[in-house]
Amino acid sequence: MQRIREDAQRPISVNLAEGIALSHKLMRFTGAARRS
Amino acid sequence: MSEPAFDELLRRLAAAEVEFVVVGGLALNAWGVVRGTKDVDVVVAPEPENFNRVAEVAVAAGGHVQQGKALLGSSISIASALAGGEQVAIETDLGRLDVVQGLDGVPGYEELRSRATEAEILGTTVAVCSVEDLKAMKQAAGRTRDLADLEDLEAAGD
Repeated sequence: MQRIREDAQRPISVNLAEGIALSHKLMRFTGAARRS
Repeated sequence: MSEPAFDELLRRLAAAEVEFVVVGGLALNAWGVVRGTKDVDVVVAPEPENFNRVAEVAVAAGGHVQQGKALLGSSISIASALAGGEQVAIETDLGRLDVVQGLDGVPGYEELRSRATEAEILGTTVAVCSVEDLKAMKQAAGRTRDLADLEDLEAAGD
């Protein structure tokens, strides 16, 4: 919860970019797992 | 899909002058609840020209829509699916673009846009729905995950 509160204080552009980067990582990971 | 690139998909929509507001998982990210999402959810202005612009961006990114047994891959057919007024999931090489419409609890484009906040992504400005609208949509959707997101959004605002 503390982390969420801290993230909420940051500019939304920063959070959006971080969320997109995380989604890309997870999708690559699950894609690689499916292929292996 | 080759490699997901949600930021590039958003940049292309904005560059093509598509009128849209980011909702769903990416809006949740923007408001401080950073978790992974598998698609780009947007509400678009329900105008034929705008549907055409969305469809053209999608087709240029290898987009197609599965509708029953049919696979729609032309901009005319995708724009036509959008004009049907229901939610349309477009699979593109940059990731899935979910055009949210016709769902209870989701305000119309003009309403969402009037309360949206602008964010910058890849040097382009995109509109992100307000945190209040996002909470209302999560409440209306009511699935377990939506309610968990709502709780996190409430915590973010504390």
